[in-house]
Amino acid sequence: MPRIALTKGRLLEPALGWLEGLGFVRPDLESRALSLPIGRGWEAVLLKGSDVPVFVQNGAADLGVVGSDVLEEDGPDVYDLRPLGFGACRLSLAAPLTWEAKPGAAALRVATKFPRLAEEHLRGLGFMIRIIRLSSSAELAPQLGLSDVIVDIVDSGRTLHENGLREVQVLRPIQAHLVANRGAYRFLKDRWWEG
Amino acid sequence: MSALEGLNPGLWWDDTASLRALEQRLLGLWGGRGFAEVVPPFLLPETEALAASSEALSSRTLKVQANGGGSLALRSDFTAGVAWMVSRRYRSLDAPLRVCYSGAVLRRPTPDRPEGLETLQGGCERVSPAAGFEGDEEMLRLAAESLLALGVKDPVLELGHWGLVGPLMDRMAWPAEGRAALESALNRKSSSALAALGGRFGQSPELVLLGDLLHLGGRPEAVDALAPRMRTMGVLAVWAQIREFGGLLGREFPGLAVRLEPTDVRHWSYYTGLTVKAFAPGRPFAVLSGGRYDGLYPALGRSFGAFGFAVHLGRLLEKEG
Repeated sequence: MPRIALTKGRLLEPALGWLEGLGFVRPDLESRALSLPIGRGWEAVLLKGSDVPVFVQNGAADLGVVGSDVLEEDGPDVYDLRPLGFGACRLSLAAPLTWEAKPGAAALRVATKFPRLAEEHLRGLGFMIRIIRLSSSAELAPQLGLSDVIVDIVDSGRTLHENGLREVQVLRPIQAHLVANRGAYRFLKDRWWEG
Repeated sequence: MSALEGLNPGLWWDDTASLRALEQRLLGLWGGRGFAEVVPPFLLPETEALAASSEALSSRTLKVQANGGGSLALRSDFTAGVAWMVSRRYRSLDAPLRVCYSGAVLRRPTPDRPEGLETLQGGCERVSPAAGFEGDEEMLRLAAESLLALGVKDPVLELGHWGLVGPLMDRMAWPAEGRAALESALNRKSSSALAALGGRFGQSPELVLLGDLLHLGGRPEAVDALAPRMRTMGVLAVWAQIREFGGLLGREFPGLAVRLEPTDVRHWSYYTGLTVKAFAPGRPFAVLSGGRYDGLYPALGRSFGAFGFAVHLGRLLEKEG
């Protein structure tokens, strides 16, 4: 049975709404089953965002819905079929209110879940940087002295504000994308996502 | 990614028997078609191995320091070893040289290529006295026959061509950074990445055509609708050639689904003409891949042309998804 991997969290509801609009049925999210039938002969699996491309790349899922931040950071070997128009937010550089940008000064300590994108962007601006790789709660890092700035996903900006941070610069806009396994793409006959 | 994560766990007797059976079928077929088996060296001087490898493969080649100096490259591909052997033995060729091989290659795993460090391949190389299209048809037939000999169920054979997409990219004359990003976007079939790159490096009719070709694979009639633009940009003849080859294989091998995927060419700086790939249901990666690489032998001081393909035996031994 063909399988689509969906990202848990803030992308899940809009992804389910998108699928419902294409004639799929909403799965029972209370179920403890690992794979959830969604109709039209398909099943869904719910995964952490960074795991979606891993499942798709290696053929454990045929398609996946994942944020463009994950695709651009990890560079998985999958087809990036289309942006889906939901899950819009941005990847931004944020810093304490009193922070001032001084390219070329002492190494800037950057806490982030996106080391590749952060490094690429900040080195391009002339900063010497030291990446501190985190898997969550990057916004705490400057407050606790772990880093000078952060590069993280920003939606409304409320979390930044509550942690005494301001959005300094948008690195790139982000939205959900549909990805496909290279092999499976050839054999999925009903290309419902093109409609 | 640590090299330890990619260590091959080895093959027990069942898988070894399956591997030998696959090898026997292939080497039997290839031998019957005049391809003589060779054993290319496992170690080559690093500079010569890298000269004979695509850029992408060079970055994944493992190296060792020989006692007494000199850096050696471990076999990451059979083509480099075959080219090293052929270019040392022959200054010129009177007739095509046909060789085949089977064995292990070692490649540094990367997050986007998670295959193990050590994987198994078998393949064929046809080295011609001169560069050109000569031998394309023979090698495509052999690729199709190889798939059928392997007993792969419901395979799809795909044809692409550097000459369709490469000249479009050349005409755009983007800087190296833009060109690399463009090749990556095409390999990922990412229309959104193409659009973003157009905004950064400049829109052009060639970029629009590349975008239109992106998702039309397997539907030649849809690509045909783009013929006037392909003619204007000087690539229609190549498309006609791919179509002709696709038609020929479709007629000769009715059990094989043949598709044309004009933009799905990897190793753009390596291949110079027709490319071939095959996929099988339940297999996440291509089970066969190759193409024409006429730039390799001139880089080694020989004027030969060449076409080769490899069957990814390691992938065929993995449990189907």
